[in-house]
Amino acid sequence: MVRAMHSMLATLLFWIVVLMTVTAATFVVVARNILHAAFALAVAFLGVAGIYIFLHADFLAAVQLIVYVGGIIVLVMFAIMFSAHTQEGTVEPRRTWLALGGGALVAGVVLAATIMLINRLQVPLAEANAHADAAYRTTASAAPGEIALGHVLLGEYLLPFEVASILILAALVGAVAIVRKETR
Amino acid sequence: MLSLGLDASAVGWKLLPVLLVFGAVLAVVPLLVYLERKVCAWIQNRVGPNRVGLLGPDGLAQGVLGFSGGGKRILGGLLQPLADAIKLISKEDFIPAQADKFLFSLAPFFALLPPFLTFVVVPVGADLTFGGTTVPLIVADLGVGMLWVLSVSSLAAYGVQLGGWASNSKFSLLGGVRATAQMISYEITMGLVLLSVFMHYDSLSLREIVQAQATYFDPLLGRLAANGLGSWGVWHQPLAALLFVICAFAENNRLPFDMPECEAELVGGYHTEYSSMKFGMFFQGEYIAMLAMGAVISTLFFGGWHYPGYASVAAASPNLAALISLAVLGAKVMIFVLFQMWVRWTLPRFRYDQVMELGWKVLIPLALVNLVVTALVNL
Amino acid sequence: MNWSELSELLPVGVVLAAALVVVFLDLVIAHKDRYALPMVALAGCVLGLGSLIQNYLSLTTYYKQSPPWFSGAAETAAGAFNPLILGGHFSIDLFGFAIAGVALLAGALSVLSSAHEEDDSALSSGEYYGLILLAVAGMMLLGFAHDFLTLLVSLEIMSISTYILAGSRRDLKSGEAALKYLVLGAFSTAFLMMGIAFIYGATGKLSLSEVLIPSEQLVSSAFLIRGGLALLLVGVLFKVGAAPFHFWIPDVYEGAPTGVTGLMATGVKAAAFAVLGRLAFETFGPRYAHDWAWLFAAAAVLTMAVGNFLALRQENVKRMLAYSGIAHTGYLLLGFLVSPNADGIMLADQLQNAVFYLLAYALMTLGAFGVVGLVREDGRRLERLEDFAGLSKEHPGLALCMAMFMFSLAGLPPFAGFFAKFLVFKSAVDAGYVLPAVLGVLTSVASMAYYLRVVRAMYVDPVRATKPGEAPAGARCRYSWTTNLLIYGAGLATILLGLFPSGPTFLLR
Repeated sequence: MVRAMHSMLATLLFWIVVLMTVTAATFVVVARNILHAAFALAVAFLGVAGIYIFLHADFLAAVQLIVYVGGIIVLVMFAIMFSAHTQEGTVEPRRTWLALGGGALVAGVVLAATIMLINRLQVPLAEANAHADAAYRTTASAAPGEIALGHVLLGEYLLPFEVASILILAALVGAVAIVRKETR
Repeated sequence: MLSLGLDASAVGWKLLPVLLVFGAVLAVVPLLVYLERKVCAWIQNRVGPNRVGLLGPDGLAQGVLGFSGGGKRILGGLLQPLADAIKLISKEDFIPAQADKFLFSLAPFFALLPPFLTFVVVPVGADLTFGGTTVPLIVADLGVGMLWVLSVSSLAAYGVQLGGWASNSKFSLLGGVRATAQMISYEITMGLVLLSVFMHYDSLSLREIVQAQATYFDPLLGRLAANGLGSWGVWHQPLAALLFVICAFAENNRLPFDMPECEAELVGGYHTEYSSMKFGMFFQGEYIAMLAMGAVISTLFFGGWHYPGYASVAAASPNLAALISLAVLGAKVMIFVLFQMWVRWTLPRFRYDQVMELGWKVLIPLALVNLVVTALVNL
Repeated sequence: MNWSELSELLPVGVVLAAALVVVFLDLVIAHKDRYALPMVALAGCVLGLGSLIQNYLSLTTYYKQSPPWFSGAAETAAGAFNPLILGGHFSIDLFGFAIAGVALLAGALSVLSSAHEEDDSALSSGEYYGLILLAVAGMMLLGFAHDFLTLLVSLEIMSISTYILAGSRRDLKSGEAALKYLVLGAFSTAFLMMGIAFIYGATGKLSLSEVLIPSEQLVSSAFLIRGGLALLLVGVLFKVGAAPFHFWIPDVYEGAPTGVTGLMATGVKAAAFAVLGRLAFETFGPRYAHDWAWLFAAAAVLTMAVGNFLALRQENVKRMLAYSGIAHTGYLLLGFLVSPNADGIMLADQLQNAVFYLLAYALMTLGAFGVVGLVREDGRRLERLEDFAGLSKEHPGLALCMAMFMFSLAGLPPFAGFFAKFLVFKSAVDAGYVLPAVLGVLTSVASMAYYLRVVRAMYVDPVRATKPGEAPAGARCRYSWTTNLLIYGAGLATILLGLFPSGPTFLLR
């Protein structure tokens, strides 16, 4: 009975997190105040981290929190605060029926495809969940996700991983190029 | 717990560490406020709060019961936090007219919540045993414990940032901007330090880190020996410990890194416009963050709840050993809290450019060197 | 994973090293010595090209055969050439070599055409040349990439570098170009990533040649895979600039510095076509030709029509070249239409034709942008058609080269453009797509109208009446030996490729 209550509580919590994520994501799009939108984005990322935890991807959740919530959005807000007109920082979007319809169409197609993905994956996903749950319960400590991830990233996928560092180098050089003062 | 109908199952017992940790934190915070004022007074050669006490000429007993209990003030000032709390609660909860009301009200929660969440992964004591059920004294032993510490401490930036922005005041905004830059900068060092600590212990779980500090290799005996002092992380990672402590000050916006508040130039920084309990939440958040940082520092570098002689006590009575371990961690945390207060009232404030220079040009390179050396040693 | 295979990526390493050297050199050299920066960047490209050729030659000697055109065409016998290296993340086949070569060429020529911009300090900085080299490195990696992961990362290296390069002139137009490019580019990458996520979710595979191998899974999740492929194609068509995803091209090409525009029009396009080519030949292949080829054909026809007819109305030469670039994307798409019953030899031939087109297009477009970059007055860039009036009298050499580039872009013999178009139309007809090829020929004929307008402006139109106080007409062009080298070199190559179209293929044998 306790187990059942536990899982019911988990399900309830999951839906709360999902609702929070979706609501925040919607708010990002419709918010008129740019700082509100940025904050809503942070909440959405927070929700995504929560979903990762429900998938037993603890490492991914922590990284999501550190990088996106604690890093990127904070810097985004930082940039907004530095640009003037903080209170007037509202945007007046032009909403035409064509744009709305087109957006709805694209969103619908993506949603349908995503639902198909989830439907198809339901069986293996449930199996994987059961497996992870069992591992989780017996060891009482987290699943070895981060260890496996480390081995894959620094083993089989070391090369793409390192190529990504070139990407960061390019972004770094680019950032310097943008902020660099004119020398003459 | 039992009244919830969950009986003594593992799920039910899980609530014990939750209540224990959060209850203790909440109970200690008012004490810390009193302590801070007293410590400050001692350092500045003053008396400090000595009026609002139980007994004495202006004690609570006289005010309520008319009983003075003699002319001497006994523990005068001990009830000062209570008086402060009443003052805060009864003040007008003022929101400036041009403020962003929603974010203005939300920001204090972001100041209060993250330091609380840090305690989730801190093991506060050895396992308790109740009739065959083992209750680990940790709220949640996450496999990614150290990353959790890092991620919630990065959340703390939101309270300061949102509060500073939503107040629509230039002092608040400057405080918020400073805090953001400072926290982001010092988080990098903190992350690098945690990385080398992780490399040393080969685990991210704080629980396993504490266990690793329980034993050490004794070169005289030629074997692993159980000792709570010789195996402390601080001996293996001294530079990391130093850097982490410095970063903890910066993350908590405590002097000498209190740029975001900086009374002399910014009035009160990000909480200039806050009053009543909203200010109270910022205020409490700061003290909880001090506790949290103290707990993390003791866990990572000073053996956590471990103490010399734990093994022999545990052999006699595990529960007694666990209770002692609780007290030991509490004592260690209090030492670090007192250290933070001591530093606050003795050191002058940095200039803002010095803060940035120290963070980027000194601490990050040092942390990188430490990381490389740790990696080479552990190769 | 066999790490010794890393040496096959040495050319990329050379370019990356040159990028770092340029960036650091800028910190230490005196301001007056800055002319050395483009020279170092150029040396990086040339060394990279040398290393690429050396790699090719040593592979050919080792296996006693030239690499296959793409990994799918490789023989599977033991001891045969296996182009898949480093755990299948990269494929060192001829297609990859060709794309990397075009990227290096585009990078070198773009450096040459930027080297005279010393008045714009942002354009003469080490970061500028470093970013060009980083973009080239990304293009080369993209040419060799053989799974979705490396593909995506390489694509982003290239894209991020070019976003910033587009904005490096620091005026309003350049900023607009960079912002539009960034936002729309990020958007297209999002499509690409979503597509990859769908495909990975459905098949659990990342290798380009393996995701669509028939299996039970493939049947059960057909809808999902189609959705993923559709998103993927949208992303790729966006990157190559095919209609109906072409809207960003004119503004971005017009606003970006001319040297960068040349790089975007050639190198970036070649690298994006590398993705498209690998998708068409390795992922879909003849097996799925029925399913997707009509989509490519439709996009090709639409792109040709849109590009050519909008180019007719342009008065700005740079904008005209941008629309012409869209039109050429359409012709190139024809080269990637695969017949359902094609065999390996036919596919290799088709790929070879497309690569020839990319090479020829790179040469003539970079040459044309080089001329556009030189025409200016009082430091002001002149890009309008009427500004070219009388160029033949003042700078007969430049005008002659420009005319050659225009004839070649229009597809007139005996220039390289003629054979390039002929070859891709031929491969479309061979693959059974006659109608798109016919439409291609028709639009190509129509395109002559706007290319010849430039020639008429230079040779026939009267010189503008100079108002008093205006600079004398003769001082209209800057002199820059690097850009002249680029223009005359590209002009020569355009004729030589036209006269000896089998030249590059001969080299590869």
